[in-house]
Amino acid sequence: MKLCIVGIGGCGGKLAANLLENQDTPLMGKSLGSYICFGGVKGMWLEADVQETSTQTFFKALDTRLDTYQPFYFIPHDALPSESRTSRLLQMKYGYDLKKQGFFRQAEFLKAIFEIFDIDREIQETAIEETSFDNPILRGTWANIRPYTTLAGTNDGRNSHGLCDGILFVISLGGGTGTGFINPITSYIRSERSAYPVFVLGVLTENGKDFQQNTEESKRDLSAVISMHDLLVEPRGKGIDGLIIVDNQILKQRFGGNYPFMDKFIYQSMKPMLAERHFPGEDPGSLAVRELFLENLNTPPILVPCYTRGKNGNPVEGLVKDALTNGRLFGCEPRKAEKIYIFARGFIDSKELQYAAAAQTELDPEKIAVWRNVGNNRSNEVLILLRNPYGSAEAFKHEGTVEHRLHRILTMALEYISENRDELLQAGMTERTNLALEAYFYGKKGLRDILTLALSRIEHGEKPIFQDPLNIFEVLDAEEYAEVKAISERSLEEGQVRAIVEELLKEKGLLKENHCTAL
Amino acid sequence: MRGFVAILLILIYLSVIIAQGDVDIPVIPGGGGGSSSGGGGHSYTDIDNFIRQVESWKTNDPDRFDYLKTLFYKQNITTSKYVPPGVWMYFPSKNKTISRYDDVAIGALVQDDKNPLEIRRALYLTLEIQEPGDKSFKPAKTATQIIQVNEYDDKEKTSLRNFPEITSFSFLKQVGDVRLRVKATDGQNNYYSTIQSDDPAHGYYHELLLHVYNIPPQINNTTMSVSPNTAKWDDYIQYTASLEDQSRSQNEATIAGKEENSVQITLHIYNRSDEVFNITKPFLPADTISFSTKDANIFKEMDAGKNFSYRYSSTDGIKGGNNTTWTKLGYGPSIKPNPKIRVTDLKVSSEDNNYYWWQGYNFGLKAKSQAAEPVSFRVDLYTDTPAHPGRLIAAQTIIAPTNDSMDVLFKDMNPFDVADANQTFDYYFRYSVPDQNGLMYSYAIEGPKQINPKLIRYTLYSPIMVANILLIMGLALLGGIMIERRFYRRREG
Amino acid sequence: MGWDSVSFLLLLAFLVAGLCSHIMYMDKMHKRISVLSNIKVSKNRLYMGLSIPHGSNFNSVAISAWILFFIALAYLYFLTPAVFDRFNYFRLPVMASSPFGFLVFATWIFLLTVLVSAYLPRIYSFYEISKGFKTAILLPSPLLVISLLCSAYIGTIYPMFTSLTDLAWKASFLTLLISELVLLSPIFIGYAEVNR
Repeated sequence: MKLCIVGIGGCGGKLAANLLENQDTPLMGKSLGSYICFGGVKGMWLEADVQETSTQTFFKALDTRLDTYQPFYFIPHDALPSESRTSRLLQMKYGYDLKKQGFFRQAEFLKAIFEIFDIDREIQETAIEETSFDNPILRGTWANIRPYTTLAGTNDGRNSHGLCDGILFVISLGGGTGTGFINPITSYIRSERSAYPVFVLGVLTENGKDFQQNTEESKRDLSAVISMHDLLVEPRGKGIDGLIIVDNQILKQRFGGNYPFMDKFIYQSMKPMLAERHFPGEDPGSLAVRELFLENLNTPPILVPCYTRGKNGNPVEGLVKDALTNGRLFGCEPRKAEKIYIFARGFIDSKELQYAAAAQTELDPEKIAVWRNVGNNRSNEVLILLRNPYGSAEAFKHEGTVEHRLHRILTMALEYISENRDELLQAGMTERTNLALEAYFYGKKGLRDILTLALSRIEHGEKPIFQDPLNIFEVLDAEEYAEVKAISERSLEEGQVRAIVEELLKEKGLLKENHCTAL
Repeated sequence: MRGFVAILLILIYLSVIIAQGDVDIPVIPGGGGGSSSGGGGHSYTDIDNFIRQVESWKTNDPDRFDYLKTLFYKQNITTSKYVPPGVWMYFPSKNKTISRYDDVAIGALVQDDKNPLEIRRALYLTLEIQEPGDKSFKPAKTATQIIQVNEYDDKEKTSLRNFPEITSFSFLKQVGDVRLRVKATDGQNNYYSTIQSDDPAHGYYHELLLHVYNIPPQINNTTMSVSPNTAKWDDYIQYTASLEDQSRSQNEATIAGKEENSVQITLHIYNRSDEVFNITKPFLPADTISFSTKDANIFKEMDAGKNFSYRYSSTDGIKGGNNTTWTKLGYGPSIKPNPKIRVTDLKVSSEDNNYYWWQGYNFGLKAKSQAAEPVSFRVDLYTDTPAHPGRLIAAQTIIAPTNDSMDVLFKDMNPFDVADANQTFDYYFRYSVPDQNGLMYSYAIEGPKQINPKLIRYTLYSPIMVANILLIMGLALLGGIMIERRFYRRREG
Repeated sequence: MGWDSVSFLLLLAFLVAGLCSHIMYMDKMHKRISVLSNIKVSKNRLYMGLSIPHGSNFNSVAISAWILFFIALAYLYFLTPAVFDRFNYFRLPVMASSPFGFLVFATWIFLLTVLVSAYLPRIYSFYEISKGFKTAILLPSPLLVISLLCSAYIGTIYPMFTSLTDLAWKASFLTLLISELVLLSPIFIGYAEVNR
């Protein structure tokens, strides 16, 4: 399994920087060849705030990209020119500023943007005229991710060796950027390859106020909830294939709020999943892992990571027990796990691992998958992913459970929705947008209702917690709808068609940059 | 004579008594008392005793009595017929084939057992010889030997005489069969040994036949020399050698006389395989053989530059057999070519007194034409070190003037490399024409100083060394990058 | 046998020990993985799976360091006749007399040992090498340059001896030894770990 790491936002970028740290010998920041990351992964960083990109040195600017791999950042809205008609049109119609630096904890911001690009024909046409793409932000983002994936290898005839056979988005749940990229990109990938694995590593915001960003927990929780909801409600085959969730609160308590250490620890705990030097026959492709994650499920699972490291020679039972008790990166009850996926490093017997995990969780060993790699011979490491380890009624009352934690953030989110109507329905937005947002947050079957339902499911121990997809702009009235529909049915002129086709071919590498098409 | 016999009898009687010991001779007290008759005259008792004793001898020891009788009784000479004694050649050696120089002992044996002592006569023996090529015997050059009547042994009645003058047959001028006989005479009878019969087992011959062969004179090859081996055509050149076995030859020379034993030695001189000159001189065997250019003008000016060889032939002139021997071929002399130039003042110097191997060295000499006009010739400079023997360094073609010597310089040469460090060196020149010594080269001259042992000319901080080190680092760095790029880059995709 | 020869043998012994350790390491890995695996493992397939890239910088630095190591080793023991009288740089007078003889000598050593140096990253690829060691791999190169300089100094003044000669020799040897141990440490450590 070789994943393409895509960090989104500030937290995602920092985590991605750890995962994409160059394992090569440092030569004053220069590389004589390829960047070598742990496990052979590749990746990049998506960031909306230009300031954030300029205060770091790890990710390079896109225009400095070399023939050999090195991590770089991409600002999605750079896909649009400075004086963008599309941007102006969107702002005019919906009030959203596409070129805004950062998203200011508005998880629904990117969601709204991508929905608009998806349904508004006029916006699409303008974007096509300007950039040849109907959704330049999506296309631009994907155009920069795709070359690292095996999708680029097979279509271009290039050797797939060294390319990534899956994507791991790394985000902060509750962060400013939100998860708006993920579902549209996943959907776009699915149109090219229906089963291409996409996973998400989400770090749930910690409790309390964020003094650096000066945001309250409830606002961050709302953002987190919107993100989680969007990720976990997409049906199988359309959305992501699994959400690995880490609670920053646990890490904060363990490492005393030392964020670099916390990031390092998350990186350390992911190593068993990313490492090479597999045992023979135990090198799972991302697709195989995806299939196992989604087995018997219609929607993506929550995967709780449990990690520990012990000295070479320690008993396996102890290792597994320590991971499941002290190594949980999100509060949960392991016995509630539907399935267990174990990634181990070291000379450990797979049967022992299975039985040890089965003993701890009372799960049938058949439901426990094990993949091992050789490791560094000094210590044994184990990363255990528990699938959906929740589902008890009343469990929300007990600390250290998924139910409890999600119950808290849902409660806080609902609280924020109730108390910050003006904040949510910002001035400066168009009426159309405000109406949509009003309906989205407060309408019938809006977010408030959905979250309340989710809360109820938690309290009753039902699975899954999030079940109802929700779009911001799907609640347009009939008139809006007719207008939208008319636009979408307008035929495109030949030149527009040609431009679209050329860009598509260039994107897929089937057409050189200087080549003049003759359609 | 009778008185002598009487005394002899008495002495014999006494000695017999003493010898017998057990002869019972009655003791008659003599002197004081007894039955001595008193003074004067012999007693009859004594004679009686003696007679009795004699009678007992006759009975007890008839052989000895007979002998005694001969002492007392001289038989009447019943015959006056004299039989000449037998005479033989006496040669005890079994080897009848001898060389002229072999030692021989030749004698004569005489036996006179027919004649009593009283009628024996003195015998005069003369040796006669028939030399190879002669038809008859002639007296040998020996003295006549005399056998006196009483010089025969009692038992065999023989007498042996050597002819001491003949110790070998080196006096023969012709080799072959030599016959010897003895002529005997007693003043009345003359006869030869040839009438006798031989007794080879005892070395007695009626006529002694010897087969004499010659050993010609031989020069000892190891003594051959020519001096000097390399010389100019008008130099004094001497050839020397020695004959083998000089000691015996020397003795014979002393005894036999110089003129009879000289050896003719011929010196043959060759140029390539052609004999160009020969000269013969007589030498005595003891002499050192010597030929020189004083004996004759062996070489001429046109012989300059040629190499000669030589050998000797030796002959003693003896007829009838092998009389000449040849030596091996000796080499020499080499006649030097005529000098064309005169070379002097060979020298060498270094940049400084350090004599580092990498420094420049200056070599030079002075040259002048020896001919009537200037001489154009080529000079090659060579150096000699243990690591590079006979190394040609440089060459020049110059024209040597007639009036004065000119300097020939080889400046700023770099004849050495690091292998020569800490070594001595020689230098020499080769010319395309002969110099005043007739040589086409100079002798090797040792350099004034040993080459400095320092191996590396540069210090560590010199630009060259710094460049070396930097290039080595660059080589390693570039090597690493290129190898990585070539063999490992693809694997990392 | 003088200390010079003993020290040379010591350096060679470490190289041999490294080679033996690597062979035994691979063998031990194969045995342990075979025991723990559920399928039969061929050595070649296993080795392919065990091999991981360490990066262009690391490989380049490692190869350069090994090239420098062999050159520095030759310089210390085969530059002057002090250690090996019959086999040394000055037995080649044409090269030794040249101003760039040192470079030519080093080039010959490079050509003789390039295959070994080039193969070493492949050997390293079988070991999990920490980021710390990948930084430490930068250390041998400057040490080896020091060794080279000390040996070159001894060569330039040979056969003279100064007060610095002995010090230079020791410095050259020590830096060579330290560099060798650093370069071989992943193998020794890997071997020790796999046998734990």
